[in-house]
Amino acid sequence: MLKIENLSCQRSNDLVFNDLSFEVSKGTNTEIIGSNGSGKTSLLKCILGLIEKKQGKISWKQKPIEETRTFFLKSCFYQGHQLALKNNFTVFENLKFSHSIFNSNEKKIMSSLKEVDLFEYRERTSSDLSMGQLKRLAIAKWLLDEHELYLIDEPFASLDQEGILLVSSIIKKLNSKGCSFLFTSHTSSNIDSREILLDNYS
Amino acid sequence: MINLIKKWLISLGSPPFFFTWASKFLSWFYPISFLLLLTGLIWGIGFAPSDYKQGEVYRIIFIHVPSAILGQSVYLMMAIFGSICLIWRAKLAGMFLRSAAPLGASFTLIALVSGAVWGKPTWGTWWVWDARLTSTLILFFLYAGIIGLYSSIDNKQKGDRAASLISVVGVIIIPVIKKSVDWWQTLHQPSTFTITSAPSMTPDMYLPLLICVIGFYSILLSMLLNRLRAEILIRERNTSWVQQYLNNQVRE
Amino acid sequence: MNEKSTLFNWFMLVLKRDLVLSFKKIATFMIPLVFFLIVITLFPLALGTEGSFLSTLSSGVIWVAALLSSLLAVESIFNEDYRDGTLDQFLISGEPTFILVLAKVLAHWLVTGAPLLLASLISTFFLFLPEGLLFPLLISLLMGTFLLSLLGALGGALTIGKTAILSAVIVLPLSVPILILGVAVMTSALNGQDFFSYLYFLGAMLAIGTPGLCLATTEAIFINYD
Repeated sequence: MLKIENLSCQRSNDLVFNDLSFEVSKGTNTEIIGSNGSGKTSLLKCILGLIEKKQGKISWKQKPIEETRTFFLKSCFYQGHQLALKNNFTVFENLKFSHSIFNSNEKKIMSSLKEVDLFEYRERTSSDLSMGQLKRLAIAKWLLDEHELYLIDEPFASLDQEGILLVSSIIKKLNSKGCSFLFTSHTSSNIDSREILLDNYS
Repeated sequence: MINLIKKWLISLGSPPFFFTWASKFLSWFYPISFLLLLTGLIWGIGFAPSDYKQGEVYRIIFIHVPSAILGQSVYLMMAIFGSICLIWRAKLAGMFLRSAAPLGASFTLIALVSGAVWGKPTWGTWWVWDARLTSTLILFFLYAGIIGLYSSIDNKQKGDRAASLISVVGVIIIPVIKKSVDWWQTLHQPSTFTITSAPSMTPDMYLPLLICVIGFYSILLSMLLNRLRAEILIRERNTSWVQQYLNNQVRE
Repeated sequence: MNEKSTLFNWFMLVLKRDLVLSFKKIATFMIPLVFFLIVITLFPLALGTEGSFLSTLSSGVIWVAALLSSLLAVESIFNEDYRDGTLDQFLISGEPTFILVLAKVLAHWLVTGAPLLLASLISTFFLFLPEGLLFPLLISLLMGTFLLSLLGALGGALTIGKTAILSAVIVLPLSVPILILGVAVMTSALNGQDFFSYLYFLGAMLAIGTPGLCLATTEAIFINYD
């Protein structure tokens, strides 16, 4: 589905990675492993078009991404380091106003909150939540809609054992529905995925 | 022939080529521009005949008028190169804005101060709210805003593009500002004197003024190219050709 | 994508979101209003309280205060969203950024510009606005504050992450025509002339400025993203 060929990217005039190639097929997971500063976040932002690529080709469903950018962006979901959650919104409102749904579907929001175990907190202001709970709220956003490709930056950071198990089970469940994951992390995780070591490409 | 010119213009977009060309060009052009400027100024201030109405004071026109013209031209140039920078992402066009903005601001400031100096003996006040002076003051503020904008942005390319955008927007709004200030002045000033009204000029006065304008433009071009050279050295300091150039300079 | 997404839905989503967020903190629309009133108060404090004197100054002072309040309140438009990653999400949603900007400008105007109209009503008492100028004041401010929100959005987008005062310095010279036109409406109403022609000018500026400045603002947002 997503094909990367000879991609190079730079961040403030320094080349972060060079000549990277891989492919993400339907229903599979791809894990980008790298040390700090190796360019994991830049890779995701480059694919999404938030950063200009220096050279290389990105294709989505066999077409160059420049031609199908809108279709690509609408089929994918991104979560970066900043979780895009507003402190002043309640848990429920944070999901209601996330961009991925246009007609607020209450049932879906309730079921996703139940799945991440935040249903009791639905009327609480987000500033009251702990870091782990905020992360789970961010995960609840994944479940609002089934996207073909999920681009997640460090899904396992700041999560305890329970949280890691939750994320793994959700990824597995979404895999079975045909969703693919492209995520980054510091070290190899237990998810059944193809691993790419970004340090090899600097 | 046209293809050759086009090729040369496109190759000028690469910093090393531009740098070597500009260095060679300036080595003979800089002295000539100084000469032109001095000729015009000395002729005008020293030798042109005195005005029937304003006496000797009108001589400030040889500084005031060229500065005002330059202040506006530089903004127009910034808008043109700004759009080149935004549309074609030309690095050099973006660097042009950083080189040009302080020059434009300085010339506008010179125009304002020389206008005030002209006004005091002729009309009795250091400042008058006439349409031209007010528009020039607003132009100065626009320059100050652009300089403030790009100097506050750390990433140089982003700063260039932000400055380009605001120059392009500004150049579209400037005619609106001028028209509204013109019209505002007719509402508030009963008399219609303008501090920048030039006395009717004979060729004896007109010629040195023309040479002054050409001299100012030449010195502007020289300073622009020189500032661009400096900006290129700063931006590309990590490339091999700059290292080599600097080593050569040290050795000399 | 299971849900039907149209331009209107996208516009309403962004608008509703910004409005709900603003209403959570009362300060968001009280602060510009109070700032406006403080600026108004400074003038009699500095220049004297004589009734007819303040009366002649009133239209100009109200307009200057409106300019300053609108243009200094632009931090709320983009800065917070940039900092917590929401702007990233908006940009990669695949929906047109132009509509996003339009919705944000409208939300900003509803939260800062519209209360300003209320505050200007109060200031007519503080500055002894002459009889019959209330309607021209309100309608010219209505159009003028929207134009100022547009300009403020451009300034805010260019200076994401920087102080509001830098944005004000960049944008204030460009807002001079709005100031001149707005006060012209008032002075011609004061002289008993027809002030509608100036309102048509303001309307023309709105018609051209809304798409033009929103376009420039979207370009400014992309500049910040490389």
